[in-house]
Amino acid sequence: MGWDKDGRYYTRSRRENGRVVREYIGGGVLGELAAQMDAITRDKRDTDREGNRIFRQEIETLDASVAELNELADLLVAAALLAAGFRQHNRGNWRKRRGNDQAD
Amino acid sequence: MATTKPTELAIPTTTDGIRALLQRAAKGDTATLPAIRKVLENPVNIELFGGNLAACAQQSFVKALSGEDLSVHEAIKAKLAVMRKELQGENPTPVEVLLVERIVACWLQVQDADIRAGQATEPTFKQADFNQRRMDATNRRYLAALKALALVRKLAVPVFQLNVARKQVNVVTTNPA
Repeated sequence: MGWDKDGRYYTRSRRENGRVVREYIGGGVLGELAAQMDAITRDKRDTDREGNRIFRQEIETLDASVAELNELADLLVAAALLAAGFRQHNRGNWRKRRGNDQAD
Repeated sequence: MATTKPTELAIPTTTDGIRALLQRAAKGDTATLPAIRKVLENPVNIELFGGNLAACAQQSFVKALSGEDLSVHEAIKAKLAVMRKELQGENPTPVEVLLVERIVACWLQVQDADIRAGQATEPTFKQADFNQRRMDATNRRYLAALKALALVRKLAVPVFQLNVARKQVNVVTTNPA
């Protein structure tokens, strides 16, 4: 999108069936209007993108603390169960260790 | 034949030290078990290990959910207090206290995900997908947190010396398994 080399025509480029097609809008007032409309659209898109980035970043910060808490809590549960004489069977159920298997 | 008693591991006093010890135990290092038991007996260690983190996580979510509205802020805190009381029950062990705090944090996360998804105005497909996946993931983690507490209660992990006021109460639990 932009003015051509001589600044006489405003053009828009778009992709059609994998090829770039340049559309000539025109010069003068028509070209100015099209350029302004495109600038507004571009600004809106940039603002949306930035808003989305901030939104995601805020969520990531919030979720990170819970993720760490989850990790610690899982570790604690595993350690508590091991200390109480259980073992995890194939990453699934916790089972009581048999006599010889007990670690004290 | 003379036998030598294996040297006992030192009890860690820092969060990283406790984490390293628990990681060794989780990998099956049975030499850590005596030290683990000692760590778990002391509520201060559990508080040091995850208490602060749980409080920070909860505060962040309460702030995000309530914004500047103090009445909403207080209402959420009151709801969390009720939840805590219901989940902890009578004489919770230090491990149970931390697991309850984690459940509370996960519940807040679920609410946050639901509200953000509900409030999104004209979301793009990508945004809607992100919100949906976050709702699913937070809900899954919340259920996993509840399951962990139920597991610890079911197997009645006996770790527990409670200091109620100035009186020491030793709680003896039985393992049904």
